[in-house]
Amino acid sequence: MLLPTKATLKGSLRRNSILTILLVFLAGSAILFPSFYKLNNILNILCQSSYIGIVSLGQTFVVLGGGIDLSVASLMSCINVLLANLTLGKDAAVPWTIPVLLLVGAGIGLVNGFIIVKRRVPAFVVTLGVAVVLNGLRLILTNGAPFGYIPRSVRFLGSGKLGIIPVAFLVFLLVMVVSHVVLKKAIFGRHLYAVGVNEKASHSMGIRTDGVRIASYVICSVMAALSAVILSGYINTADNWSAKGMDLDSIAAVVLGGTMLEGGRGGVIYTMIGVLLIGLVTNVIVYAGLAIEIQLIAKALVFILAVALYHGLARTKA
Amino acid sequence: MATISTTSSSEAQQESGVVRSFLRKYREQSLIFYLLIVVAVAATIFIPSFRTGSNARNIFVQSVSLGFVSIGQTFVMISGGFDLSVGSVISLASCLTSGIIDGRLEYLVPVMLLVIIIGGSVGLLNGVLISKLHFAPFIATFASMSLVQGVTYLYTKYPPGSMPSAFSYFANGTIAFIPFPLILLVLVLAAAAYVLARRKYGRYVYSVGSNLEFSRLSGINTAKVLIITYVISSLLAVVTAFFLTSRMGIGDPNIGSDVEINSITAAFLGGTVNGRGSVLCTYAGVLTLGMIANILNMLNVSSYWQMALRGAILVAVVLRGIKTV
Repeated sequence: MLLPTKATLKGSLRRNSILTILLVFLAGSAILFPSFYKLNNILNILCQSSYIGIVSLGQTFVVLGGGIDLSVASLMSCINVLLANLTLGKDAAVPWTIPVLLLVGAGIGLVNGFIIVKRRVPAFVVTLGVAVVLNGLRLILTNGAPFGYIPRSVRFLGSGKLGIIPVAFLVFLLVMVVSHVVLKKAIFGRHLYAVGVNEKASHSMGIRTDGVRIASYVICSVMAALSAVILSGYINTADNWSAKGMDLDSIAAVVLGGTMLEGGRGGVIYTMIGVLLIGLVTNVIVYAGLAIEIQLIAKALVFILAVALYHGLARTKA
Repeated sequence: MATISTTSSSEAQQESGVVRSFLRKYREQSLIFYLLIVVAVAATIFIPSFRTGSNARNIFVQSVSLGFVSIGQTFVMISGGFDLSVGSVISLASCLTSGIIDGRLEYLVPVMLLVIIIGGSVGLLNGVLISKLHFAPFIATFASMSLVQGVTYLYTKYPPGSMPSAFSYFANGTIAFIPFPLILLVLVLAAAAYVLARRKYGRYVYSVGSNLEFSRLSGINTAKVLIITYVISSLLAVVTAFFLTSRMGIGDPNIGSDVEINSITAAFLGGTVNGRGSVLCTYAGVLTLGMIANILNMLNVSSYWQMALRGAILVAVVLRGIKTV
């Protein structure tokens, strides 16, 4: 049975190459754009990376189990809109709204997980369908024009600082630590890796593969909801398409970081590197004065390169 | 049951007639025809404005754009994949066409050829990524969708240029009172059905979709089959783009936004799965979706509800599970 990558040479080679790419990119942009490393800019990138990072961590859980979740972007926009609608800008409403929103996320994750696992339908079809349904429902709710405001406390969460460290980044660090512990130390985490590597064998070993996979979708959606709350605080507005592109971003971060799409290999550290890379690519493009559309093209190209590269490395091992 | 061609089924064909053997061979897919008839009859009975000839004509003409794309999507889905990039190819093709031509008639044919080549190369990219670099189909087309959409937005953010008035023949012209796009669709449909049923390449597509590894070991050049399949899908997307650009008189970078979902839904409605499928059944799915949209428009249902409903239909169709060969 395949061991987690840490123990294999090819795995450490892959992880080191990602780190190398990241360092090269950092060094390169420091040379080309010295003003890029102003404190303000770095803090900005940290804030953005935080909400992208949290949803990417959720996506990591799903991908490790061998699935994928394309509904995160739509769900995040829904949470953004719902947050504004339900709280109407009042801080007093926040303590009950946030748990409700996280529960909504969990519910969507349950729906995704159930259909994918129990009905054996390809993950991306189901999550794509759910994304469209959520888009439609959101537009119906807002009738095209979202209303409400983001409460001050959420704004602090999204763009506030404790000292010089962004609050959002602290939340991201917390989620990162918890995810890492769950994946590496908890039984659920080990089962998730096993299911991703070989579902049938795991099932025969007695692992409740259905439960593990459904749980991964629930975790992903809850993290997407949390990420959406932080995003709302960062952009300080409710917008029907506020999380547009988050599906590509989160999957690209997971893939860039080295987590394999067939599942079973990867983890939190990998994804974190991927998130940093995506954040850097996005921001350097803006900083270099290139058109915003180049971001989309660059992300797609980097995505294709990463999958081709890592797949090549993985296949030579077999 | 339901392997593609065996001697027993051809004997059955001679015995019980073409229609019944078609229904037997494509038993699962032909459920869509019953659904189509039920919806059509119900609408005719209960909604008076549905019964007019011009409404029926409208439904057919509207079905053309989704029809072309869904035919290509059927090829791709039979081969075991999905093509998520068709929508963005349509957007790019329509913007390049109207943007470069900008009303000048003499540019029409060269630019159309150029756009066909560009569209085809997207299909080539998809095919190569999937067959040579071993990308999962939805990952490859997801990436190329983002790439092409980015290029489209880079070229223009708003509808660009314009089309010469002669081009509107593509969407609005008629040959003996039958709309030209409908004639084109019937031709393409017939050609697609013929290729899938009677040509070697068509059988290879089914084989590759059923089991890629066995096909490769049987000596089929699976890479070539897959590449051709995705090129067909992209080319049909370009045809759709021409139709839509002709109808609107101008391109639009967002014109392809819902197309992937709808074409996949139509193909699923027609019972398309890995290794099984029929373009005729897919077109029945296209017509069903078109009729439902038409009915909902008549009942003044908002487009947001229709969007939610379309997603729900996709989820509902796959809810019964996708049985592969």
